[in-house]
Amino acid sequence: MEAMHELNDVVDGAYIPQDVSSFIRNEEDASSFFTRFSVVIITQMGSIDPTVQCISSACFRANVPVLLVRANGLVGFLRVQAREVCILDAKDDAAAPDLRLHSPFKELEEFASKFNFNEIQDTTVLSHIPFVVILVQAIAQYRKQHGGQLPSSRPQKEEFKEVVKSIRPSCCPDAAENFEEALKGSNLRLCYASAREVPSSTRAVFCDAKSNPITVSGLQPESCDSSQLGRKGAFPEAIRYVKLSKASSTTLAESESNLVQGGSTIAGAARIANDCRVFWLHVAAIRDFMERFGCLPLQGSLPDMAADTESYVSLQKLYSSKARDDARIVAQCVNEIADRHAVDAEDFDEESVRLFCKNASSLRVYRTKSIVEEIESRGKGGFKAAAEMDGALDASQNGTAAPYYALLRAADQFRLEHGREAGSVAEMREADDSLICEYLSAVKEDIGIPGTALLWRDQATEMVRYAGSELHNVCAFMGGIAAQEVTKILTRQFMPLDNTLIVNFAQQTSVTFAA
Amino acid sequence: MQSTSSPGQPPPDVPGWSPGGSLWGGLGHLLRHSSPLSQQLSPEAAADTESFLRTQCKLLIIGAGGLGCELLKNAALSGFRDIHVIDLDTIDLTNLNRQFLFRTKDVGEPKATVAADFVNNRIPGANVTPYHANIMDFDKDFYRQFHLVIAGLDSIDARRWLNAMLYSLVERDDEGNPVQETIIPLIDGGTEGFQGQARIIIPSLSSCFECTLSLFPPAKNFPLCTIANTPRLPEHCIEYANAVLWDKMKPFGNSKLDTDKPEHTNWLFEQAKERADHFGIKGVTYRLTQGVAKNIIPAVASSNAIVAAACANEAVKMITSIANNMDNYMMYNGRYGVYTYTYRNEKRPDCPVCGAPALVKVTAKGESTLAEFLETIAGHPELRSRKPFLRTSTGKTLYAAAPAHLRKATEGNLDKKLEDLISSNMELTLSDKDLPFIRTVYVSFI
Repeated sequence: MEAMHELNDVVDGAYIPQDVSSFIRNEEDASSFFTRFSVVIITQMGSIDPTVQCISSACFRANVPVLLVRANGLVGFLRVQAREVCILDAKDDAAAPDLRLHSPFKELEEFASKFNFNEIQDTTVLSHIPFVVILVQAIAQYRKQHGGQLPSSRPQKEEFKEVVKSIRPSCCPDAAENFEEALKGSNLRLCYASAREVPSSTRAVFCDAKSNPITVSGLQPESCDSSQLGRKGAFPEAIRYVKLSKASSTTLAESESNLVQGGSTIAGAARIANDCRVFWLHVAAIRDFMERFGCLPLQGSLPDMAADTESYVSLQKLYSSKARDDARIVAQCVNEIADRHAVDAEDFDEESVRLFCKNASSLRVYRTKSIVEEIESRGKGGFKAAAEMDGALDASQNGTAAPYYALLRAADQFRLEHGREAGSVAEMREADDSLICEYLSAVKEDIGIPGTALLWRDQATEMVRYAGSELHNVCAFMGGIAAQEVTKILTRQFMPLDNTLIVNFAQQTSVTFAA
Repeated sequence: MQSTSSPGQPPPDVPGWSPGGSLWGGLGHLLRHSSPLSQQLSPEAAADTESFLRTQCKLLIIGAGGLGCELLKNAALSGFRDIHVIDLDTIDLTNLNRQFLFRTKDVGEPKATVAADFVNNRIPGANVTPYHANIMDFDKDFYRQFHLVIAGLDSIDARRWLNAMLYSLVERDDEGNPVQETIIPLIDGGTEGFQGQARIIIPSLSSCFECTLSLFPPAKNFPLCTIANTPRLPEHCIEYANAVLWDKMKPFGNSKLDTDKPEHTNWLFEQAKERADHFGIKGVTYRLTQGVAKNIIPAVASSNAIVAAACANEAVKMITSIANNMDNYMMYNGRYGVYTYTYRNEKRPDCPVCGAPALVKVTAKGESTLAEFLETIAGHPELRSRKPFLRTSTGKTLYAAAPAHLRKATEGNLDKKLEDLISSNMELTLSDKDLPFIRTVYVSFI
């Protein structure tokens, strides 16, 4: 805590210098204690450890994300468990710009029709007409010839391309960037019938049962019993870290009641539940918009393109004002739903609606299986496929990182039964080695991995060699990854790991899979 | 364990002390136990290896910034003691969120010195020697003294230079084979946002930085005609203030633009804001101005931690053989989930540093000017020469960016047409003050 405070002196922390299993004896304890946090990170404990199972079950029910992170010799492990994280902005690079070329709005059409290509003599002016204008004109022309349809088949797309080319006056210079941009595949694609479809990754959010604008089941309280949250239990008192040099008595007094003492501030789980409700409220309203208008509300941003300042800025204003109009329609719907379902007016405003609309195509729901379910499902998750990809099911290759998923489980089993790490006592190493192989066989059978005892034999010996040792760089790497994932989860930006990562630091390789 | 009795052993209250008995308990354990997967490791030599790591091994870390702070901490906590660090920079306030060896009181001080002091005070036994200097200030004899170099640089040019320097140290025996003792491995890390890479370069044996230069596309600049005539983005306005207005208006007399001076950045901001308002462009802020003027790529602290840990881990494996080294390049992406991919980069037979380079063929219009031709060379993916020294095969100098007296003597050629200076299908010799090699450029007119 002292070291953390040195790095960042606004860090406000408390600690309990005890083994967690000494005061978390069952799921009820875990539920009372851990649901006040926004995220829980468990280090150097195995997924089959009873305390880990209590904590992860309680947190899963209360929807508090858990990270289980470990380093053992040259192996690293990270598992993220979250029942539901509502991602506000997945920052998907691959997303196409939202320019509505497939169904231009009135103002855009009017703006585009003001440009008459054949009357413009000045080639500099010609080559600075934004490609958006070129494509809006082209698509209008194409539609006129095709009964209002957008290009969809291959020959139709070819034909459309010819229409775009035909707009270019012969006096236009060869190197005119704006026409090059108009003919770029990624931009032509914005005009095809398929461009109207919402991409599948985005659609998943709007197809989710929770987003139904009538029922809005996302607004219902979740199954977890909120009376359990923040209940005071018989827990050891947390010691608040106070820097000695500063006049600290007042700080201690005013902050004493927070955090671990609980009660005065909103507990982590309650806050997360509220964040989710706000998310589903906005998503339901956007879904309503989508069902009425056949597209997402306009994002309102314009990528850079070859253009003169005036037409670019006018176009930018056009898009941004249309986006405001769309957001206003969504806001109405948000109000209606909020009224119907008695949602607190503090939870939304014009600005929140505008932001949700702007990021509509980047909204995602992140959900994982619980750690307990993973163990109980006996290998029904994505491990086997990942192991196969890793070459780990082939005895002649033995894979890279995947085998250590099973071996960490075997090592955990050893620790549970013997109270020490396999390989930690020199005289017992050979015995430990054969025991680990036995546990490994049991784990392999449990998760349905075929193959002989020879499969992953060398890695078993390697695991015994590691004996739970901690190497600085392995810990630093795993700590860095865990910190990154926590940041994503708390800021609800980017996509978190789904959901297990195994790193083999001997080869510097990794596998990920949804366990 | 032998290490517990060695002199200078840290007291038990040192951060990082583990119950294994020594600060480096984990490493000591792995050194003493053989592995079916690492054939190089001999447990009998564990004490010798530890002693080599702590008393003989000389490690050079290049850069004391985002990656550098992590690398210094990692190396020192892994048991390296004789560590040298080079960094040209001074500490900026904006560094403090991730460059954790620095505190507010250190702003303005040299990074290398402050970082070295911090590690020396904090980690018992660590002996870090700082150099507040440019890597190009040091000669072959300096680099030759190290067993291993780890680089955490953000500049492509500096990495190209370092790579070529280490390659040039490799000596060959009578049969032309590289002499093992003269090979100094380079572990190179880099990050950008949520992405990064770590790689191992064994000069003359593995692919080198120059072999895979194409992995790092040249930086994109805004074309001058856009920023001057048709600005559309706030960045265009800032770039205009930076590239055009500063030299024209000389707001601080003859002093050069120093983006570390708030009054300079503020001047840029005000000019850019005025221009943006004039054109109706929104979004010019002080923060963005600083970002554009300093060419800041958003740095993510966790990416630095991850890539530096991978680099330091490879360094430990290389010196101790507790496991084999990776082969030889890991790319990392944390944007969408967590993804790493490790593969072998192959040597390029025509690599200008470690292979037999081929002619670089460049086409140009005969009526274009020499200045335009130099722009082509600066943007050419294989050359990227911005301070060219260009000569014909007969020894006539077309242009020399440096030194100053040669530039003055050749500047006059810049506006001349290419066809008046050379003929088509001619070989030119290109060298560059910042680049470690000479290339032959074959020019044909189109």
